[in-house]
Amino acid sequence: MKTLITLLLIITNIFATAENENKTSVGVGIVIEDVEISGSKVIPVPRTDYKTPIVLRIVSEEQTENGYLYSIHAEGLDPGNYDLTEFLKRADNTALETEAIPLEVYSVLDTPLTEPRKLTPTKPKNIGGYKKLLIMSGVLWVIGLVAIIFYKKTKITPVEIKTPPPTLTEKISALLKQGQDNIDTDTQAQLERLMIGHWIEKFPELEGKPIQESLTTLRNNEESGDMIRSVEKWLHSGEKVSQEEIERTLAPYAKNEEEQK
Amino acid sequence: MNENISTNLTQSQNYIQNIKKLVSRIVVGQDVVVERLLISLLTSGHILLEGMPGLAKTLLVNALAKAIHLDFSRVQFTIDLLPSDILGSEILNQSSGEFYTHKGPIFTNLLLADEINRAAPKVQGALLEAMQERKVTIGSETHVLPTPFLVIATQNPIEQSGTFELPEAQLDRFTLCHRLTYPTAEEEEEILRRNLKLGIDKKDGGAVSKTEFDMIGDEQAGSSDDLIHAMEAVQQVHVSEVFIKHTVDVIERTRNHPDLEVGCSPRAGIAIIKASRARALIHGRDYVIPEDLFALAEDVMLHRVRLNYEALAGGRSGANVLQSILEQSVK
Repeated sequence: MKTLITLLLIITNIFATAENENKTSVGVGIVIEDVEISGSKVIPVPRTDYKTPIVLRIVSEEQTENGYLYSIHAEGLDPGNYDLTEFLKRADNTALETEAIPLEVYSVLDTPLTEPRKLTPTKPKNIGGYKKLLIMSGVLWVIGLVAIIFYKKTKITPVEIKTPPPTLTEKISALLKQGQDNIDTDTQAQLERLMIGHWIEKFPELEGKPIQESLTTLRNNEESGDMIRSVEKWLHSGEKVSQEEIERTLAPYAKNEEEQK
Repeated sequence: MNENISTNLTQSQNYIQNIKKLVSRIVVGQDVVVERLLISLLTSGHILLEGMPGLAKTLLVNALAKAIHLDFSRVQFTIDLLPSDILGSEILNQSSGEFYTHKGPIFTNLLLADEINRAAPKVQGALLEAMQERKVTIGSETHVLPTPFLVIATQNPIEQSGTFELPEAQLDRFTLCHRLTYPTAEEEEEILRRNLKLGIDKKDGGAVSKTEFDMIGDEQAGSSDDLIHAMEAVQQVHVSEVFIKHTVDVIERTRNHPDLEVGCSPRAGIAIIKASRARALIHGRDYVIPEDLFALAEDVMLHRVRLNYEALAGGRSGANVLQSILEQSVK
């Protein structure tokens, strides 16, 4: 009885050990030893993609009477229960019919797993467009250059033929045309000043001299003296001057006007 | 023309010629200054003479006063001069115990205020007030100044340190401001020749070199009645409406000129008319003409205008601006 109990304990322990041996966490390799597979030699199925959850490697193999005894290194990439025979094949490509080699790959992380946020590809901003920027800058530079060249530049306008301002003689003539009878005091004053200006203009040697000196010179001049004095007498003496005398006084100025024409 | 007026004008012109002749015996040249002094005298307008020292200002005024038989006083203005030094003051007579009035040098016909801009403003103010009102109050008594009363002030335009420039309002009280110039070469030669003939003055057992002042004789050009007649004759000189228009035109131009901050006051127009009348009489006319206006414009108007900052910064002078105004008026 004692022997039976001991045997049962050993068997139970063996099974328990076997169950525990084929268990590993994700990414941690495990070596499963003494796996006997009858028949011809087996090799791992080559991995052709990254989706295969188990990576297998035959660590050692030893031939037995019926087949081979293998040590298999396995590494689980995703949690789950797997049958390692699905990741093995016969080296001679014959069918592999054997008992399952279970492997539990568990995760040590909390469930549900916090997976990295999935990236959504977006088009980055401000990348590219250098050509457009260059063209725009070029256009702005040209506009600036044109503005500098032409801003506030006087436009070349066609030459207008302006009527020259009336000369002193013309002004005097215009006043004389009003008729001596109609000349009021304002006009008389204007007329006399214009006559003084007329004589100063007529004698180039008086240019730049003070006006009082010029007037004294003109009053003593043979040509202008009599005429200036007669105008002074007419306008300033307070004596009654006849119409004939006024006409005689102004006649030389009218004559000058005709000569100029 | 009325015969009486004509006779009066002729007499006055003779009187004026006599004055000019007597003054010219002492002072060489300076005809324009003599003319301006006579204008001031005949119009009772005061005159300011601007000029360098040594241009015979004092001699001229002295000779003029002597020629027209007028009292003459000269006051040298200095910084420490007091108003009472000019106007006079009340003094206590210790024996009688009463105050009596001591009249200052202002009680004269011709007062030469030499270098008026050297005195403090209160002295200038006292003098200019007396010029305007022709009376002086000393203590509680008001004294009327003698007639005619004429102030001839001088100032040196170059030396400005330690001077008090007369403000525009006080300058306006002077009818004329004449700027003296140096004599011509011929005139200067004549001055030197005359100076050579001065000789010495022996008196009191000693001798002293004679000066031009010793040459001023006692001869007079006429009596005080002649002066009054001449002043009356000035009032009879005809001023036409056209001349008034000319005057107003020139005055107006000073008020609207872009280079001038202050133009001429109406007092300038009045001064031009008055002075032109006197000038006409001096030149033997019984009516004024534009020449009088243009000849007197600088002396009457230049001290009454003030250039603005832009004109000063541009290097323009009052004389230039005024000349351009006169030139513009005949165009």
